[in-house]
Amino acid sequence: MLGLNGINFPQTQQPVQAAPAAAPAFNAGLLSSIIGQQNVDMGYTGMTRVDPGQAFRGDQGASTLLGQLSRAQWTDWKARFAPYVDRLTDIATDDDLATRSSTQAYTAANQINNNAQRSLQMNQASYGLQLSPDEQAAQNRKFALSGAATAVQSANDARAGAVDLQQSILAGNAGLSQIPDKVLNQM
Amino acid sequence: MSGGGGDTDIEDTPEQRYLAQVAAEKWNFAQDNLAPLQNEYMQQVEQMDSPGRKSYIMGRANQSTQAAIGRGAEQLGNEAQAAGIDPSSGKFKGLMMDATTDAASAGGEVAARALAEQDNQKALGLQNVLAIGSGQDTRALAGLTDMSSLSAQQARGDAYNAFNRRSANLQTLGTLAGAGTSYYLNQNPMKSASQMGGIVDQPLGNGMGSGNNYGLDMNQRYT
Repeated sequence: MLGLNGINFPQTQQPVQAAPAAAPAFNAGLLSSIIGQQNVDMGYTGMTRVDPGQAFRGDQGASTLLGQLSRAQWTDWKARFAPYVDRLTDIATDDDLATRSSTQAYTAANQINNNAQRSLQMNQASYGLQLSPDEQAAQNRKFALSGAATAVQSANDARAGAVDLQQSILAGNAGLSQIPDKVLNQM
Repeated sequence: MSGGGGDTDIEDTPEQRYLAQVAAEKWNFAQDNLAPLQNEYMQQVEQMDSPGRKSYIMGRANQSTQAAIGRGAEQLGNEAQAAGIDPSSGKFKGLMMDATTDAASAGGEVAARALAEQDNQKALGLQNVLAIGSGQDTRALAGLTDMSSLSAQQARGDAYNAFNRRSANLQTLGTLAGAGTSYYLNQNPMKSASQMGGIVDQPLGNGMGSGNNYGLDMNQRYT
């Protein structure tokens, strides 16, 4: 539907949608999105159109059309791209991002460690090895210590990586340079 | 000379009218044909960290680690047999356990890194979307197959290397045990042959000089 200035305005904004339920194969927390997900309104295309015939209407039809074009571009950018400024801002200022990233790494490393322990038991069984209670306890301790060390190291690395990511966003990838001034200057 | 008054509106020239018309047609073309592609890209970026994709990455890393553990254990058994070491001995059990925990550490780190890198790639994708919106160049993103293949390859390699190292230690251990030098196995790992001074005979010196610690260093990690 045409607006007053000859521009189609978007009917819907991009709604925030929760991440879908995790697949059962791995820990649910492991598979949830760390930096959030959003549903893109795929229907919002070709709606911000202008009428080229306007250029030949009246004494200043071309001038009016270029004005409408400028408005259309800005409207389109606000509807489809501006939300990503908000997205990146949210990521860059998310106090819990490092914690979530860290938890994800910790869980992943633990999961691999647990599976490896089961693999070892199967390999031992294939050799007919019987562990004494003391040996079994030592093996459990070894896996617990090794697994914890790896998980903590991975978690710390992920935490540092998340902070690096936030700083890289703040350092120039979500600032005013993203406003499409080039497009406007072309008018 | 004109005395003023009258219509002061300036009419558009034909050139301005046609330029405006073409600009409008270009814009409409972009809205009809390019905007859907941009939306498709946005949608794909949003799906980069979906549970399915994370599960896939995690599965590749896990599967590769477990496969390497299985293959490594088999090789370790063969090496033990060749070196005349009883698989039911405490030493063999310990080596297999140590190799498995090493492999688990390698696989765990790779899996954690792969998931974190996928998150980073999504953040890069979001920045790409903004760059598209402002007419800037964008950067190529590593795809899911790149990420999962790399992680699987690295998990497999790191985990298997853990077994190979233990296996090499096992071979050395068997040789040394046969040579009656098991005394040295109870010593702390030596850093170099020179540190051992005159007590090192030539056959042992080579091993010590190369940094081989005979499987006794519990802090040994893949490198």
